[in-house]
Amino acid sequence: MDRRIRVLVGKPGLDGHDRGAKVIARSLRDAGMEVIYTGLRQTPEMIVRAALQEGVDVIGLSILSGAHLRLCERIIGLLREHQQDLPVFVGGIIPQEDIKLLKEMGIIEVFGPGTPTIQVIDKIREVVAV
Amino acid sequence: MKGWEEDRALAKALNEIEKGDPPLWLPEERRSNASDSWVIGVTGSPGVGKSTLVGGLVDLLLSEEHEVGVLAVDPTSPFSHGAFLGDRIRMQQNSLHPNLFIRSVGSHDCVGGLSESIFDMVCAMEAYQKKYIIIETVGAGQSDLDIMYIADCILLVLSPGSGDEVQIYKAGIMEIADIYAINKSDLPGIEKMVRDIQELLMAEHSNEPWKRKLICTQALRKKGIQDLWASIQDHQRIMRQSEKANRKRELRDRKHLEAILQQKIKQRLEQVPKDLYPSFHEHMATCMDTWYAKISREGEKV
Repeated sequence: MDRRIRVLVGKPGLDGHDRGAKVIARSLRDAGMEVIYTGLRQTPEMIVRAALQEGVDVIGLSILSGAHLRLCERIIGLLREHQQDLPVFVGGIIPQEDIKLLKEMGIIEVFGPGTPTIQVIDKIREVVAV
Repeated sequence: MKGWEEDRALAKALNEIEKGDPPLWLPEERRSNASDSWVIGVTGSPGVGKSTLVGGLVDLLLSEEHEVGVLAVDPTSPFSHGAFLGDRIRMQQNSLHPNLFIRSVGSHDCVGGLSESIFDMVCAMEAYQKKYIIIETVGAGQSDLDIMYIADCILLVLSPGSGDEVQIYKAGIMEIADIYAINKSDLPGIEKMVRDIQELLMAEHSNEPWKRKLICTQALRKKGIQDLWASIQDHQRIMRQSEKANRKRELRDRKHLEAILQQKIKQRLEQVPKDLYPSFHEHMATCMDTWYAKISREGEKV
């Protein structure tokens, strides 16, 4: 039996706008993935614990608040602490100069506004297949 | 941090189950803990408040220091085979509590409101010493009844405004409940609904040790949850005293075995090369012709 790709779509931090996260969640669903959506205003601990319990293959974070550096650092740190070496993607409003910093931190890819969803789907498939 | 280490092991077991590859140690490991566990099935139509109610129950169970496992089933798409699993959103308050493990499950090809791997998943939860295991079904229709084969206690969540009393007398899901929770009890139509269900319960003349109960709740405002929990405990006590609980577990084991066999057969069918199908269809068509011809000949004789 084929296990479907499981993705956790998380909204860390305090922004209250999850249209983008839901659009992505739905596109991934339509691409045959199982998407677990955490809902708004999650702490890094909540996201990492949910990812662990849900046994996901990938984490996608949607951040619009500007706090992406702190939040991602903490999430990546917690994942390492609990030996969950999961690929993490980020989407949302991220200044160009921070993309490099996020990638250095260990974020696999950053998707800005207007990214075609197929690009996200392909990237996830590529990363999980390895 | 306590809890995370065990979480990882349980999550791994559940992943293996989803791959169709249940860990072989499961049945034995489970047997030693199964007698302590109690499986609560929560079912009802989409949007009546099952997840929110489960969230409320979970908070209460954790405050009494129980180990709690939640299996929240949501539908899998028949088109893409993907799923949007969103039950966790309603169970946030204690999501970091070390005694709580929540797992979202896609229903896959299963039609009875659960998932084909649900039996194995409950066993895994038992093996990891979850004392109360709450299964939330997909938003259920009148004949999504599989939960009755696995849960020790069935909670049917209803809400006002979902049809007249005729709906209440229909067979199927209304019959399998041990406890009816009428949620959103602040909405108009609640008095009538309570009256209708009370009438239904009064008209029952069974020799069952447990008399079914009706509880009004407002899950969002945490009202009625305490009463609901008291009823669940009463039911548990009475079922255990009367040996009924054991018979339900025997039924569950039998259904589990059936589920394993069905999965094996399905796996075999999937291995049949696809190019065999055209000739198979031809064969079927010939068979059908023969059958219909035979039936009509027999009919003419009469």
